[in-house]
Amino acid sequence: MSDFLSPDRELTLLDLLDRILDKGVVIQGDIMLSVADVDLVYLGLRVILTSVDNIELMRGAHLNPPTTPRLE
Amino acid sequence: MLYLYAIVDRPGEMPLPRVGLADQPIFFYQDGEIGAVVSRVDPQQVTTEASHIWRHESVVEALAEAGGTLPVRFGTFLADEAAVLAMLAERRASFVAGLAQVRGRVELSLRAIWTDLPPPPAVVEERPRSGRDYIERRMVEERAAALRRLRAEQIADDLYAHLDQYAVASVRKVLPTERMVLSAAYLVAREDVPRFQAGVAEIGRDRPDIRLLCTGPWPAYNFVSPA
Repeated sequence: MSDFLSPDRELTLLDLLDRILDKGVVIQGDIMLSVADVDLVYLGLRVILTSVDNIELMRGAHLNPPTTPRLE
Repeated sequence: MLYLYAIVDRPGEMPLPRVGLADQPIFFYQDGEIGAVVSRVDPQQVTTEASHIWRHESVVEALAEAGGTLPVRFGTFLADEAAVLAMLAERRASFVAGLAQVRGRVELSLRAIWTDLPPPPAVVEERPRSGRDYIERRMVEERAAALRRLRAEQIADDLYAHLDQYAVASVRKVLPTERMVLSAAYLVAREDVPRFQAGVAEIGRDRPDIRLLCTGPWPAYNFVSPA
């Protein structure tokens, strides 16, 4: 994955994370993926998602590359 | 351990993606006409890194293109075949109803953002001079917020009036943040996606006061339970 995502790709990634980590069928698994990790990623995601408008404002403003959401 | 990707319709009749997480082969367990699509993965090997998340997504997207698919939330493991079959039996009614709703349909994400919202005040206002001054300021702020809510609801109603004709279901939230008018997900028949997208573009042209951001088609993550 590129270090510099376009706002479009960034928005798509955010929409993907919003779905895959927070929506979909919830099954009480025998193991859920290190839940703390998912919660941490998701917490960060909420912060970014609520500022999707800021991502949108970056469209056309190429002086600073958009921040890449780090998933690790 | 078994990693779960999705609950699907008639998995035996569906072309399955070949491999999933950690490049392990994909297979399914079936209970009547529904099935659970899985692969054998060591939970230690799966993390929240982007490549793993995209791999889960690409498996679910391939399944959703092939037939009725309820995506399972990322990071779900079951111990063995018995656990998968017990889960399918226990939730069969809900899965069958959910599959009937999403079959042949995809999800589109829509957000609307103000283009004309004044920026928030950059400096901290001086302290109110009196109790009355404080009350008056609060009243001005509350009136502005109430007006913005009213306008957001009018815009949202306008969007619903135009887009609901292309969708079979939707979930939506008005003013999820101060700057966002609306955040919504629409369940749309696959063949109606271009019409939905054209509808969004048309509204975007007519309304300079908002900017519309539409992503998808996605598997129906927001519509996994019957409406």
